[in-house]
Amino acid sequence: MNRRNSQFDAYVLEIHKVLDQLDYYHLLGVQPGAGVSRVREAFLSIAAKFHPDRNRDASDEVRAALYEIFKRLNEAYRVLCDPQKKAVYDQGLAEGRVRLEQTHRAAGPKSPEDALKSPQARQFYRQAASDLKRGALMQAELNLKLASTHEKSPNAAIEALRAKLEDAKKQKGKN
Amino acid sequence: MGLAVGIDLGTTNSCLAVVQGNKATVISDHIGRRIHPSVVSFLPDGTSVASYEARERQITDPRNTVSSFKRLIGRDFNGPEAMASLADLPYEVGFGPDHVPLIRVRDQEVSLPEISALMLRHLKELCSESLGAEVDKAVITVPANFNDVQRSSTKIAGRIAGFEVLRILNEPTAAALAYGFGGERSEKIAIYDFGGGTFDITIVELAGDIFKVLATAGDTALGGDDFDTVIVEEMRADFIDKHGVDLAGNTVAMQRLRLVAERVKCQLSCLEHVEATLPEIAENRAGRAIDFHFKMSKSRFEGLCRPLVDRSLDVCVEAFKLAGIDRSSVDNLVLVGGSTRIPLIRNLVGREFGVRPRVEINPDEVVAIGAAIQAFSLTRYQMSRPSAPPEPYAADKRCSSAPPVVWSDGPKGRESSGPLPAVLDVFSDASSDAKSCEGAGGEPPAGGSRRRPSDDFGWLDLGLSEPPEEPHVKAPRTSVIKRRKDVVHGAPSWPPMQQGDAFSVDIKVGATNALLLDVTPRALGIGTAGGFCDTIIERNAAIPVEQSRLFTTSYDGQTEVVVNIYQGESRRVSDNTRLGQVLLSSIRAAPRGEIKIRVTFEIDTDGILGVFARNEETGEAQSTRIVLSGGLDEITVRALVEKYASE
Repeated sequence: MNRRNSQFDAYVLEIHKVLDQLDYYHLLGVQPGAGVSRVREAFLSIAAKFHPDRNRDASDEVRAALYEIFKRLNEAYRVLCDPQKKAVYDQGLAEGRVRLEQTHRAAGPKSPEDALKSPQARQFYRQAASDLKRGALMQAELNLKLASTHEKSPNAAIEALRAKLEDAKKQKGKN
Repeated sequence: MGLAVGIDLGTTNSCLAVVQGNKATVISDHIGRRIHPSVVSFLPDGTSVASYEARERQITDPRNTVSSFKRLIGRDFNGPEAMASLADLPYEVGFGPDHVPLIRVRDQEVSLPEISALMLRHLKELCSESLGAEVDKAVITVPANFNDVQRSSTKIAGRIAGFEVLRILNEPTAAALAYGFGGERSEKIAIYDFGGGTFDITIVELAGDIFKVLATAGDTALGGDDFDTVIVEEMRADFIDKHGVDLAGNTVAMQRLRLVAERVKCQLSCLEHVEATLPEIAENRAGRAIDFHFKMSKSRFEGLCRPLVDRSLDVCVEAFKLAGIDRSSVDNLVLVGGSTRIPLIRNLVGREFGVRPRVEINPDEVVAIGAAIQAFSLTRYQMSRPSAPPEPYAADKRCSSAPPVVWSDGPKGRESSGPLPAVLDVFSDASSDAKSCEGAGGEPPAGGSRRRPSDDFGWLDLGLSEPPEEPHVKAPRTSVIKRRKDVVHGAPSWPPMQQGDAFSVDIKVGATNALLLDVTPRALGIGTAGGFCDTIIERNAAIPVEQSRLFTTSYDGQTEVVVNIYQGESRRVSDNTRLGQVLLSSIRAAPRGEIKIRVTFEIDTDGILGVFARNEETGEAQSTRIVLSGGLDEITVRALVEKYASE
């Protein structure tokens, strides 16, 4: 059991070389239409032989390659078992992208008021912004004040709008 | 070459086990003690002692005796948990650069990995003595919800103690391994781990000898201590009713209540009523000392505990959702942690899952045994690591005739009979001989046949049905309670164990060839503008895992980019735990947005974060530095490893 097969090792290194060109289906050896249970079966049978823990007697080079391969296998498995991710992946794959590239998804604020925690504050903030746009500085100031009373902690979006408002007031004063 | 052991480095107690001759054995010290208090004490002469010897010193020298260090390791000193636990600590905690908590003992400052290392070194010596052989490798367990810094700090502690740390293993996963389920049938196991300080639920899918963790979830603020608290609150209310005095502000009295509450809790696991007397707990308005008599029934206790147990069951629901399975598909339920001795928990959890909980292996030892099994299966492949690759034993022509290059012809060429699966099958014999060695794997779980017929959810009641008129006053007489009042408590005095007795010597190992596929408990994200968190690696992603992101400069001539890393699922950074920063430095000064740096975040098989960065244009490695809050840097670690090795 402890005798390594050098052909296996050579094979591992070969896979590692072309890893970045392999799509998830080829990597797992399943057809694009394969169901979750087939994907799972394929993943487990590969894991049984290719997991780094099963190859601790391999050379450092082979172990490093196995480690990289296994990370990609985990990625492939996760994507192919998740219908939503799979759909996005298939679309990308049709355009030649073999990995599901995580783009900056909607984690960050889409608009400045998204950064406000309180829903009321968001409402007042939006009102203040539109007031400012149409030049109703008094109303903008009032709404902004209301927004900041609802938002307990200091907020960058409110501060930014306040600065704009101050600028607009100065501008108006000059005129 | 030394032996490999499994270490459960616990908050209160630690336990050690080893696999030899297909049997897992708990390693006991020279007088047969199987668990070892996790306490380190610093002596006036500059040396230190650990375990029982150190615990003795908690009374005589509390300021220089460090217990509960697991609560502090890898924590940001300013974090809420660290602050909360500080209040109870009799020793002094300070902090160093990067918020690293340091313990001040005998005019020196000692880091937490060092203190853990002193405990581990004691355990290492204990192993060597007991086994009569050198022990230099270990699998060390941590709670499933430990974050990156806590894990890496634990691993560092192992290195300082002179271990090659084979793996940082999640405690529930270790417990699943200890039960050695297995065989050909695929099954699902839920591990309900209710420890002293935290609650974890892990769901494992077992296929052959592969343990795949489907999901893990937990509540870091829910633990056995909360059961003590409900009793303390009950006592306090009772005292107000009887004597009109609120003990809340009386620290000494409250501490005494807490100690007694813990004992009441343990007693109520097997008795219907418990009474306690706390002499001279406080003074009334006339200045006269009041003795406090307190009674509690099991049903009252269970009523108070119910919300806590329900909270844990809510976490279970969350875990099942994450795992994408129904709770009715659970084949086995394993209970881990001292709190699972409470009959109410056994009953409710068993009912919830619809299966009888497995409790045969002593919950104090089950994790260490699982760790030992993992240590064994990790080293068995390493035993005869050859210096030169051996000759191929099966010169299979198909290997060379079907080179993997074939599938490099682009994503579109995916024939159904792609060469990859075929070639993988060639190697199926590579593991078949290993498989034949684990004959025990196919047997039913060792515990099944040895259960007593009376074993049921409420078996503890049956064994100890006591005459109710007997007042079980473990009344702490004055002298006793006075002596105990300032002692940081060690192991709680649970009722005599019935479970685990038959197995307390050796556990037959069924899963020596087990392969564990674990997950990362929390999402990993980076901070973005406006206090938001951009998730990079999802919660419960199988490890090892990596994801990369492209970063660019945001102003002209910027030579440094700072990336804040967080752990947690919330979109807002304020709700997540800040792990630290990645600094990308020595960037070529250029107009904003011109330089693109690809940063790869990796979580390795120990659940520990690694960060690599590469300049997209040049392909060169970008210099990076990770600063983890509460963690030690590599230079400090190396220095410590050398320092302790030379001692």
